[in-house]
Amino acid sequence: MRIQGKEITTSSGIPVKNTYAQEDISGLDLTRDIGLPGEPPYLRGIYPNMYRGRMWTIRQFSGYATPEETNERFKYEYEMGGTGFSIAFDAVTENGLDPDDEGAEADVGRGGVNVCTLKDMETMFKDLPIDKISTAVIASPFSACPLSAMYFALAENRGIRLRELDGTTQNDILLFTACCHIPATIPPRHLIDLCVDLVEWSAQNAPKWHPVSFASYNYRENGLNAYQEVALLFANAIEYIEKELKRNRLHIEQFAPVLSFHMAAHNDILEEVAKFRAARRMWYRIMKERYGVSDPRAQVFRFHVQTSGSTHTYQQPLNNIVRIAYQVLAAALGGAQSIHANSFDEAICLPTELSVLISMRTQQICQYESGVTVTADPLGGSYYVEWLTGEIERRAWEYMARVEAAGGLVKALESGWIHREFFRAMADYQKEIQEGTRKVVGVNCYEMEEEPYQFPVFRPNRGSAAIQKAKLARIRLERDNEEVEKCIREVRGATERGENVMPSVIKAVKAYASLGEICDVWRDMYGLWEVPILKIE
Amino acid sequence: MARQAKATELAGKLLEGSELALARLISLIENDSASMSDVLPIIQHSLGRAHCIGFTGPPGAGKSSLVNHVTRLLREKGKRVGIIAVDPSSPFSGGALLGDRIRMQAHSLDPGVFIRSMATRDSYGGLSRATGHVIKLMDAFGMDYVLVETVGVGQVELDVMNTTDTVVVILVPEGGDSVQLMKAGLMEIGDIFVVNKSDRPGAEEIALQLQVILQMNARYAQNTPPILLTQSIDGLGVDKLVDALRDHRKGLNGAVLEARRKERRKKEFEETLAAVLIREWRRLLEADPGIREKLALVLEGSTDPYSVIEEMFPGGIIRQNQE
Amino acid sequence: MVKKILMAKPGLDGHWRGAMVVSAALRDAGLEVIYLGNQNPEAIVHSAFQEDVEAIGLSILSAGHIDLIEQVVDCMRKKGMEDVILVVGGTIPGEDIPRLKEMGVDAVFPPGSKIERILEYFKQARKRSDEPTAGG
Ligand code: B12
Ligand SMILES: Nc1nc2c(ncn2[C@@H]2O[C@H](COP(=O)(O)OP(=O)(O)OP(=O)(O)O)[C@@H](O)[C@H]2O)c(=O)[nH]1
Ligand SMILES: [Mg+2]
Repeated sequence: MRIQGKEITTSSGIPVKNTYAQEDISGLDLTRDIGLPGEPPYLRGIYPNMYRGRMWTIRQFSGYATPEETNERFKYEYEMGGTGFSIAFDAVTENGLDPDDEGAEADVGRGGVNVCTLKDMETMFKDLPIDKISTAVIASPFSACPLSAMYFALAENRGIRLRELDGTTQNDILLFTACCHIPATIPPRHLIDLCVDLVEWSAQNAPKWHPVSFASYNYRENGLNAYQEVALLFANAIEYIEKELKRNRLHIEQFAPVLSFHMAAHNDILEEVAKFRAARRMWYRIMKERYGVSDPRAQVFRFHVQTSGSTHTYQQPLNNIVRIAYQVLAAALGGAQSIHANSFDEAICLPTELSVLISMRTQQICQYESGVTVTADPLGGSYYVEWLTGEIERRAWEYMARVEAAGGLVKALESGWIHREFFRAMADYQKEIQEGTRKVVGVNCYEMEEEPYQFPVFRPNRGSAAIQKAKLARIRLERDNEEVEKCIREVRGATERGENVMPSVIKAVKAYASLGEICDVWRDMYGLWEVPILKIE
Repeated sequence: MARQAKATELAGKLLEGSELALARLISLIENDSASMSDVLPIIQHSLGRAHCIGFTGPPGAGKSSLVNHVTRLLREKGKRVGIIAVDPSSPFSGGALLGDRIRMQAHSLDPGVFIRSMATRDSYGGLSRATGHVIKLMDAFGMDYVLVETVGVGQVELDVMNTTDTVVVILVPEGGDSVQLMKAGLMEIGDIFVVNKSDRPGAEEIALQLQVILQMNARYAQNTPPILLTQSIDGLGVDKLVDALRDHRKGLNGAVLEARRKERRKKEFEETLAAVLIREWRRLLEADPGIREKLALVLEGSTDPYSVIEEMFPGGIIRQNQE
Repeated sequence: MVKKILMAKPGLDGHWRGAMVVSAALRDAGLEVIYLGNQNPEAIVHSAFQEDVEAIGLSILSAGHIDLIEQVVDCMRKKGMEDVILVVGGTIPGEDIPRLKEMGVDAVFPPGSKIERILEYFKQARKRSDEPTAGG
């Protein structure tokens, strides 16, 4: 809730009245606009029975130091009841660099795990049942093809058929170009081709794999509000779709079902629920009305949720447990398919075993004790929630039109339009905190001089850089370097000819070409992208 | 005076090649351009060697990236390069966010390159003055080239461009920006025109339009300036630009160059004089209650500036000036 | 009062929200901020040297702060820039703050730091060489 002058608004600044009643939803056609769970427009959920049939997947985003250490963390989470994996890579990997690249050392294994060859991927999933449990490869758009290829190769080596392999690659073009900056990536107009290559290849070869997860979580974490989040999410999806359609190789029904989404759960519980519901209806409309898709598998909006890290405070961090629980609740009420709950030490360090355990228990308590899972879309029909759902949808369409007016997503990205929107949003958000119209407990109200409690800080192994470098050096000695060179040339050839790069990339990773070697092909061809810096008016 | 001694000492060290002295002197001049009066006598004999090039064009046209690539090519030839990157100060706070340098970081550790960002600050004619001074410092430091990147809008812009030997005007295919610029007077000052982002559609077209416009312009009656296509994203076409810069410099042989520089010195003199006079006028204003009273009348609107000035300098000073 | 500051992110850390929010706030308070984005420590220090700034601000959310600041301080020492103020913000666990101060960091602003506090700090901060030397 925010109070601005006399007006009370939602967290996203939508003005709210004292109370809501029938007249506020009188414009809605209850069947056409709301309907039933599992039925168009899927506003109320994508399955008729929702969590009665199957609980959401508990998928914690994890990774640090070396693949060996991350393997241990995955095992721990699996033992504690985790039902999906999600790999956090370090910034070196996201940049498509190798640990021995110049300037990489300080970032190896920080904020995520370092992976540079198939060997690392094998190590990371040692003794883990990837045929039964799905994995999210949270790779930047630039590293997405090679890192997915490593995962595919791993699966094949284990005898898992790609047609059966379940999982996701993030592969969202806004990540690491706008949502955060990486210095070693290629310009978006070329990057988008790699992104779409993975989509196209997966749709044909690994139909259970989600080769892109449009991750508006990250847009929200740049300060955007709820309806801007949804709008940019779909503007992005549309960009991918248009790109693939222009290639004239696949029909929309062939690839739309593999698209997937990753949203944020922010503070304002009911607004977030409305947002998730609105997103489902909008996606249905986009598929049905814009693209004429009739396959329900493509019409349903499947999404993962992450609790919003930027709402979690450094001050009095145990309070974050409460914030995270509320956000998980919002995701559950909103019908998420999979959830990552952040940990209470979010603003301090990567999670410790203790803090990640509490995150998982938070989810399990919500699943089995809170009672919100007993029926599908329990808030359906609430005057306020239905009205707010409509309001978010209306505002989101409007904002989408603005992205379109900025030339579509890739143009808006290259021109710096998106960066400016992010910047404006984050500056406003900061101002609201500063002026106190946005309350943050422990930060601008109920502050304490001294921290009331202490707990351990997670410290990933500082030796990971040396270890990863040594491993890579050894691989370079042992592998067939002529074969690697040949594979790298093939990657280049395929890219130059405008063919799908995936077959050649898979071949290269199987020959133990490193991530950096493959990405160098594209850097060499297209040059590095200079992020549009913000010279603010 | 301590400040004077400091300026003199730094100027000496500058001539010995101290980067630190260069960095410090620029700050000194930025904060108090009058200090240049202590520096100039010392460096005067080392001036005039550098080829000074201005880069101007609308925001985001690719000026910084272009400067970056030009620098790369000049460095390959072993030339030493000074770069002055000007960005606007906020008219509200006086603060500034200076973001050009980020595009030139490839050269950040190269001992043959010195990059300095400058905010326009209170640009009461002062920007061109400070920039002019900094160009001199870099020249005296021994730079073969001094590249100046500016903001691309307004009068200040034209002033800055007057302090350089060669002016490169950069346009881009998209939008009405380019047309705007043509109106804004940038067309009058360009020695070389560049259509950057030529990887985008419409570049050739803009180049053609430009050619037509330039041919109609009296300034270019003798010969139309080169119009080049570049892609500063990967440096395509920048070699041609460097050639054109060299040709332009060659064309600026003895007489022409000297005339240009004379013109510049004259302007500089006038600006310095104007600045001193204005400062004096402000001092007078502080000190003389009579003048303050008169100004108050002007501010109230109860009298007009002309009458007051006429009263202050009897003898028809305004009329005289208009002749 | 500090008038000119260089803001940078050492290493590959891609979080720019804090760095930009703070840069803009400083600009709005009348400071000149040279925004460098991601750079290696040596390039950051060398740029600060050429720009003759009074302060270097680093925004580090990658957990690499100890190593990276060690390198920055080392480069500053080599260039004789001990008098330039070094300020750090971002994901810095409280227990690391004393250590960073020992290394030569003048002030640390962890997440949640109030903008007013940051501005106040720069208002009273001075380059060390500008300080009247205590005891003559
Ligand atoms: C938002 C966010 C993101 C956004 C980035 C948005 C952006 N444009 O920057 C997204 C979602 C894209 C993102 C991505 C990642 N993130 Co992140 N992210 C955060 C989060 C939630 C908030 C940071 C933030 O922007 N806060 C708002 C700003 C205004 O605050 P701030 O930066 O702290 O700045 C304040 C002060 O620190 C200070 N300040 C900051 N800098 C400076 C500089 C100076 C000079 C001064 C005076 C003051 C100052 O002033 C500001 C105002 O108070 C933090 C956790 C948290 N709650 O802090 C994690 C966090 C920083 N991220 C983390 C990680 C691991 C990542 C990833 C690497 C994950 C991955 N493996 O893919 C990626 C990739 C980033 C990369 N490659 O570099 C970790 C870092 C772990 C660590 N340090 O040990 C954190 C701590 C979360 C966690 N616990 O896991 N992230
Ligand atoms: N497509 C394309 N983009 C370019 C080209 N040159 C520069 N850019 C991009 O345009 C943007 C602006 O480039 P800059 O070099 O910062 O432009 P500028 O004119 O210095 O900008 P300001 O100093 O802000 O006015 C960057 O994102 C560059 O990568 C080019 O030739 N083609
Ligand atoms: Mg520029």
